[in-house]
Amino acid sequence: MATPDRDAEFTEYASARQAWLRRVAYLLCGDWHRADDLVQSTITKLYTHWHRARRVDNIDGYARRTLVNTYLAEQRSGWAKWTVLHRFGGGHAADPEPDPAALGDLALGLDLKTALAKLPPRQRATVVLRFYCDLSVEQTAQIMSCSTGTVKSQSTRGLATLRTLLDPNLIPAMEGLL
Amino acid sequence: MNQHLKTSLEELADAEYADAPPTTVDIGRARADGRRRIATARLAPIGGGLALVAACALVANGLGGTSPAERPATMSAGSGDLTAGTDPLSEVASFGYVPDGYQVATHVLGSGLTTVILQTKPMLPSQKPGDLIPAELQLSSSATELKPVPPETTTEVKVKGSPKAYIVHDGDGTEIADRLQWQTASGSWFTLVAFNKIHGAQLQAMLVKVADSVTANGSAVPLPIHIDGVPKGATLGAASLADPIVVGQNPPAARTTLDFGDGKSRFISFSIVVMPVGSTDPQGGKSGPPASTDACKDSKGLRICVLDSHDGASGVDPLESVGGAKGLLDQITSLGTDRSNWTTHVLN
Repeated sequence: MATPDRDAEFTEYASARQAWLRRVAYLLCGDWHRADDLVQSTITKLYTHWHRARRVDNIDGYARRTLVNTYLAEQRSGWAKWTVLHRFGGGHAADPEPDPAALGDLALGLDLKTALAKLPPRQRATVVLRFYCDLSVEQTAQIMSCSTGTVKSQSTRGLATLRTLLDPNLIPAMEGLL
Repeated sequence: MNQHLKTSLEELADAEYADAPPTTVDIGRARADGRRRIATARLAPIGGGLALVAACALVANGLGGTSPAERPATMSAGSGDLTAGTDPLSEVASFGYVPDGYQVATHVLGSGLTTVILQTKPMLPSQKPGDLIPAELQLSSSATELKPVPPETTTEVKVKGSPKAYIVHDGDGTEIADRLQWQTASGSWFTLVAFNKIHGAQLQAMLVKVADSVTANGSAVPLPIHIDGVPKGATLGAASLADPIVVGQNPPAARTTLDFGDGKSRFISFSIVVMPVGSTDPQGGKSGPPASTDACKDSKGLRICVLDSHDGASGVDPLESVGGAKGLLDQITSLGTDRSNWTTHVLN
């Protein structure tokens, strides 16, 4: 029988998974203060939908999806577009490709943190979900509300960019992964 | 080779985490903000039932009210047919139209709010591949307008007989669907929100069509138990009657819950849960076996349990005044599984 104590259940879950959510958020945005903001927004939304979240078998998946959606929504905001435009010196604001010239200035062997920062938001989210969260193409597509084909293309582009910035041996070949 | 990238990402996250500044994430603030969003976005207090909400103000004021047994006069104020403050649940409204497949599934009083939830058979994908969950319509009413909170925006619409109606759009649109709020001729307000497959103009048209058909109905919802005495200091925080039969769960098992606080903390001190004998709790439950402080009995085809959730950190356990969970259980009368025998006279 249940003790439908929404607050207690939510608090227990959020306390237990806060560190994990912070790590994922950090990999998505690369800044701890923004990561905390993302997690704060995520767990607030999670609380709002706790009656639904607690019914699903994979609450972590629900929380991760909320986190990624929050991150991508933030990237669509005016501030984020401004930041991306100025970081890369132009491009498509909604989901920009990095400026090759800007990338060309980067030294080979760039650290992973900096390299991740050069990925457009959806590519970055795809890489984090596929290779940090260890999700399949189908699971990633579900979280990002897009087709598996889009996930594959985002993975391909993201990994290709990382290969240009990092030790190529670090980055998986596309074959067999997509 | 993908293991290399995975390992590198894990090492990056771990290394950066080790040097991360102290977190500013505040779970308590998330709860408070979440409750505010629920209050303004998805649910609303029952029309004319603000006294009930105030008495059950689990959210806004903590569990600081009097026990339900001590407030029949205030609970009945303006609550239509609500029976002398003895039944925590109300019908909220009658529907002249709902989209195909929707049926009343759940009545809820919780987080200081009362609502009715209509569901379909499972049709929406859950997080588990291949699994489906029901689509939902949720309707609540309030005595006053629940103003949208920035960055929410509004679009005016027309609802039959309403002097003012508008659609509220969530700030980022990622988590909370558009909702419809409208004022009734008597001045109270309704809020209607849907979780289904449609969006945008199609969703808004559906919300308006349902709203056009809504008639306020404050009738009490019959429940399968009568409680002779509520423990001293206990305050009703939440109640629900969930009827999964309409969403195809097997075996069907109407589930009644009443959650009480201790008047001080925001946490629930004890719960009364009622289900048919032998049924499986569709909402899950405590992990592990029942605690020694819990008590259950089977009567007239119903299993009635009093679950002691008092953590000892917030003062007196209300159950102590009645001899613990077993003492309260002895004061609960089962009315059986036949709904024609259920009562609106729940709390003495």
